[in-house]
Amino acid sequence: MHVVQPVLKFKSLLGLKSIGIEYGTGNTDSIGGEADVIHLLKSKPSAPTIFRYLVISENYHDLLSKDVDLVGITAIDEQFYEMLKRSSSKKLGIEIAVSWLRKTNGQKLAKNIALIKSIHNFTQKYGNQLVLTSGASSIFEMVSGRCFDALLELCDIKPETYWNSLNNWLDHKIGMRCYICDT
Amino acid sequence: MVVLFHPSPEELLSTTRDRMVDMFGHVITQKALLKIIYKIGPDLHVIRCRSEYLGEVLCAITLIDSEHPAVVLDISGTLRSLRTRAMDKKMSLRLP
Repeated sequence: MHVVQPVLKFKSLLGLKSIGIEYGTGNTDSIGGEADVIHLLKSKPSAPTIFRYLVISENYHDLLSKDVDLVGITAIDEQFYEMLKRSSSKKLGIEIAVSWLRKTNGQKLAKNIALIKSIHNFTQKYGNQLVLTSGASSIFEMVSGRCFDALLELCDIKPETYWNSLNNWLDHKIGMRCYICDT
Repeated sequence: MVVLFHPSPEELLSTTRDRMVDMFGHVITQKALLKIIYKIGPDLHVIRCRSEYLGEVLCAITLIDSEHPAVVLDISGTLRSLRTRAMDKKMSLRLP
């Protein structure tokens, strides 16, 4: 719980409404039920939880797995779009991390920006959702809301459209889970 | 804008300019007129740019490929309001 507090404090400084925090493997009993935190888990908990969560995977071949909500992308091949088409009914999130974009030089960055634009168009067409994340491993790698907007504009994506559709997608995904009411 | 960056303000300026040249070219980088205004404590820096190129500058700062990434904490059109808010942010972050 005390690990989450500095992140929450920094989150409000950056003008972000809610954030996703990656949780490794192991017991999830210690996770608190903070309203503005979405926990990113590697596997689906076996019982209802008090916290909101999404199941993530770093392997896009998991696109067709029924438990996965969010798939991280660092490289794609021809199979990717085909798998995305086949997984359209699941409303999957396709995650692109800013930390990955940081490691690329100008030429590769330009290709990746085109890739983000293409994934966004594709996800809109097939009912999935592009999720741009900071990929931060510390608070000093976090990205403010205004910087996300600038990156979206760079990719020719309207920030308002993106945030609205992300909000709807999150409501849909999180609303599908079973939670224990903390009364 | 107020930027949280651990190394010196000169390094912030040079790495931002390098990334901007890499992404948008020399002409846009020159036109953006990036300038360090002052620093608040060791890690918070106030930098200025032309508003027409704010998007490009924000992208460059966000995508700095460095051991120490930079975080944009606040943006304002006037230095006076930025200074006031920067002090509040410094207190919130409890920076020395």
